[in-house]
Amino acid sequence: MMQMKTARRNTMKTKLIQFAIVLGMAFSLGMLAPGSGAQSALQTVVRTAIPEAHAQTEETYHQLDTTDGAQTHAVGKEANPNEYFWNRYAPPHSISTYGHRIDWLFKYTSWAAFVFFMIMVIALGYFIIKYRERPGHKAYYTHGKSTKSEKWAPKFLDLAVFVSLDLVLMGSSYLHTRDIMWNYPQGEDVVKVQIMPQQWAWNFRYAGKDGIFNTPDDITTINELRIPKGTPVLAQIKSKDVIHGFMAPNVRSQIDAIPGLITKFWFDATETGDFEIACYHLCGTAHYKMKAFMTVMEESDYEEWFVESSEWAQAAYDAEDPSVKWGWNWSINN
Amino acid sequence: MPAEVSSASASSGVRMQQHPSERAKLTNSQLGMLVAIASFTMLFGTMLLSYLLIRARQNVWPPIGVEPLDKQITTLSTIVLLGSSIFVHHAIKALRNSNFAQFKKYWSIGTWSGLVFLAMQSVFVMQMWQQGLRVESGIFASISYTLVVFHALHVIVAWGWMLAVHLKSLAGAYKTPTVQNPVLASWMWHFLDVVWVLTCVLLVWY
Amino acid sequence: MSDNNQDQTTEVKAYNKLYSNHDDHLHPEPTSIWTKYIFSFDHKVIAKQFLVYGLCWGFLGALMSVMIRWCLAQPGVPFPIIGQFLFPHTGGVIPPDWYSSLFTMHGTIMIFFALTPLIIGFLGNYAIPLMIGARDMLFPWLNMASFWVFFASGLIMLYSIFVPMGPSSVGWTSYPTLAHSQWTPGPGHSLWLVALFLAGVSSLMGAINYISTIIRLRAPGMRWRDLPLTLWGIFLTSILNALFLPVLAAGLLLLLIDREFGTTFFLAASISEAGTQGDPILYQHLFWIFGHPEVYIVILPAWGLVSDLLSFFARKPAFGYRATAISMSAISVLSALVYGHHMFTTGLSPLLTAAFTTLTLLISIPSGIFFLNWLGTLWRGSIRFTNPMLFSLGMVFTFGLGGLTGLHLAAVSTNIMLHNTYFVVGHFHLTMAASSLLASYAAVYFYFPKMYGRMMNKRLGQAHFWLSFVPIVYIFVTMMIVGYAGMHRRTYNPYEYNYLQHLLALNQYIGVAVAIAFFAQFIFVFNYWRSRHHGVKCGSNPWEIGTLEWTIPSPAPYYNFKEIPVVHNGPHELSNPKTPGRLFIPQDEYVEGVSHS
Repeated sequence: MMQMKTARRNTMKTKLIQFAIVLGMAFSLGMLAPGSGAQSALQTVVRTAIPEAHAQTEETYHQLDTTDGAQTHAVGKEANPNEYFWNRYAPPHSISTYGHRIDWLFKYTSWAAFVFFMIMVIALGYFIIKYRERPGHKAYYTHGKSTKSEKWAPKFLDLAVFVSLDLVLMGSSYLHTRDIMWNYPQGEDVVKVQIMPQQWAWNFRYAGKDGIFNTPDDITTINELRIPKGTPVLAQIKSKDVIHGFMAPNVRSQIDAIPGLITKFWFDATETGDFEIACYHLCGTAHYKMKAFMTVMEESDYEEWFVESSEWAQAAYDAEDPSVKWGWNWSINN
Repeated sequence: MPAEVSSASASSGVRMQQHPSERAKLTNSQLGMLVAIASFTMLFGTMLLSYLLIRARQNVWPPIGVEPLDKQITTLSTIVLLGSSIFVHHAIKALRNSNFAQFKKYWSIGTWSGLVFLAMQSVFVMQMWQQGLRVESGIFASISYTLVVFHALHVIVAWGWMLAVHLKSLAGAYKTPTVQNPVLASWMWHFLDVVWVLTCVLLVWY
Repeated sequence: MSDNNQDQTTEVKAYNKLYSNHDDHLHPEPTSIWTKYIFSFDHKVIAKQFLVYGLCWGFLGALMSVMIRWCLAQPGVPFPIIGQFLFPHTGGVIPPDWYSSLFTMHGTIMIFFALTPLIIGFLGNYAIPLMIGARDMLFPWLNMASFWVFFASGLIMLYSIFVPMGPSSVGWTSYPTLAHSQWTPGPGHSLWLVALFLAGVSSLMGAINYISTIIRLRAPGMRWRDLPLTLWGIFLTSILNALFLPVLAAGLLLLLIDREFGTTFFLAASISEAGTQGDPILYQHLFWIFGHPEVYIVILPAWGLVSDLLSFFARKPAFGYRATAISMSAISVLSALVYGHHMFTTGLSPLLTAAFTTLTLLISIPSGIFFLNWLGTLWRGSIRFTNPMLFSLGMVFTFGLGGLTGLHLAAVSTNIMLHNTYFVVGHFHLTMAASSLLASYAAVYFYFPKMYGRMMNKRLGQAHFWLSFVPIVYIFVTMMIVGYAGMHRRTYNPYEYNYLQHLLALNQYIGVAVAIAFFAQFIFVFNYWRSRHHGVKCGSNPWEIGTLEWTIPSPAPYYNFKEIPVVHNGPHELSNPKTPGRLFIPQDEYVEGVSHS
């Protein structure tokens, strides 16, 4: 049995290796650091090293763009290479009245998690260097010998995480569900929409001038959701075939569309403009291009459009066509 | 076995020298079987729970136009299966008391009444078919066929085990009271019995 | 009770045969090639079989991930070299329907056919009997059967790739109603369901074996608190496997008969005939009641292993052994209660949503405890940077990072925004793929000397580590960034959306990192293959630690222990000040003042 073993001498080679390890770790972290030079350095390297591929990619993904004929809408936030990293890769700007709350919680969680992450990294790095095996250095045997403070340090840290992160998240979640998720807008001044996604398009239905769904004056659109600015929109969603997912990134909310079951959500847009809607739940082969457009209009413009469309729909209604009757009875208990 | 391999020395003074009266309640294979039965409990439990979740949401059950499941034949088959379990239980008791003749007799009755149960289940399923209920006829049919057939398939396999034990007992293979195979088979049989009772109550009577 | 020693011994022998029995689990030495390497009862051989099979499948899954990332980095560009052969009708470009199959099969293969055989099949089979001082598993035949059932399930899964209408393409979660034959016709997905069902049966057989073996075949004197934490992890994993695989089996079975026999368990009323009234969400409940414990199943052995390895190579006992064991047990119990956090967007009731959020956040408490215990183990240690240690440290890093990002997903408000985006993908890859994979590698480097009597090359191991670890961290952190930016997952060409077009650059960098990490794995394969016969020879205990497997020669003889050891110490008796000058005390050596009995 080997009892005595000479520890490795702390040669220059060993030192270099350890230094390289720490450098490697620092480099990895540096890659992730906000606005670091490392990110743009890598970008330059990639662009220089594979310029062909890059050019080819630019060209080919335009070839894949199958939305020919559709109007181009100005959407979301385009990337500006000169912009600060975390702004460049932020989600599209929030136009809803509650988006900022979610954004705030995400940022808070990220910062708090980052602090604990750095504690872990620094502890790891420090321990690895300070407590590496070398002559004259012995490990500290802890079986049943830990002092009170040693035993409590991890528990204290865990509690700190719990209080600063978990409790905040719990409280925030509760508030979110109370004030947003199930706080559906009531009253007259609410735009009610029924949404029925199918493979692979979005159907929208408005109740029309009579305010009742599934009547001849209902406005139905495909892939186009028009809403007025500043008025809450309450949507009931039911899928026609498979599970889809309604996602309007600018609104910061998502909901599944399930066949046979009605889900609902609401939001309130604060800006006019055109915004994209995506399907986030795998629904088949063309899931990746199942997109729709949300157009937020001024109130007056919306009213005008609404009345005009409702009248047009009434006139164009074809009672023989069963496919126009896809709407359902809007009831509060849905 | 190579000569140099040996068991722990007698001077170790630990577990292996325990007196049999202090032994653990379960043998090794019984322990394994218990884990297996826990798994099967989760399996059938999931099926039954899924059924309950669907069923509890319905106002009308069976749905309009569907005949309810036959209570008579299912009650009879439940009694037969319970009876079979009782005989199997007594067979194992006899085995433990080294009463091999009685074990053979009771096990035989248990096995053959198990076959009668299977026969009655087949009649039950055929009845469902004759009533016009097809597997694809909607959720009621889905649930009924699935629960009954799924259980019956397990009973068929378990019955095969029972039959194997029965044949071996006839051939005189069981000579000591500590044989494990019959005990394990009996556990499986009792388990499936309990599952059937639950299924019957929930499916036919609820 | 007889006073006659002879009788007592016979009685005891009979007792042992039924109730513990270390001897009868010795089968005669295998002689032919069939009984030695193929249909072997020896847990060590079966472990190697799982290892090789798992690595092969891991290669296939990794290749699929390379193809997926290729699509995202170079949309519309033919896949190099093999693209022409695989997809001749598009000139080598991966088409959208095959893309769906790629991510489906990637997920399925990596979880069930790569990670499970590595971290449970290989590690469990190899380590359990050796660590507890047994000659083999309690049920060696069941052990062998579990491998061959698994092998068969893999064959079925492989076959499903080549059937008409292609392999499964509905995501590894296989949600109805997309998974129904109406929307995904063909045998591909049905075969997938059958293959997974069989894989579950194999894992169940393994679970029965592992649980029973750890309970019954521990060497005399080995109390539960003397078990290495690796075995705690494997034990808890096996319990979770035994309890929750049947739930998956039920879900898969119901979906299979929905597809093949026209039942309507998961079909909803509005799209089929009246009176169908099944529920697609029921499947999601069934799937995730299994699915969430599954991720813990895959990580628990890794946690246990890393807890042990950190202790071994920091040359001091695992900090807070008892707290770690209790935390891992608590997490196992809680794991089934948090599954709803995968379903926040399906319209769960307010009560359920609040309950799942709270429980999910609560699970971070025990997770934090054992994680901090890892740091406590390193603290004031004397750290040796062996290859297993490198991978363990890497695992600590990736799990710490991944675990923290789980917080964003636990809270329902941020979850709804991040659901089904790449943020989730980054999170679970860090916690599951990266951590479990690094731990699997640590296990292989650690046990290689015991398997072959030689060491794996240290430099190659270091190269393998850095070339895997750094890209892996980069890949998944960047994924979280693009996920937060709104890129949803399972999307063939996200650049269809204007708001995602600027993410092409990041996706390209991920692609570069994926390529590096992919090729780095060949270093490991080469190292393993070459070191079997050309590695530096080593003795019985090259790592200088005290657990029982290092008291026997390397490579381990087929009977493991000549004499069943009697255990007197815990597994982490390292640098004990009561025995100055001794680096470690083996578990079966009695030392006055140190041993418990």
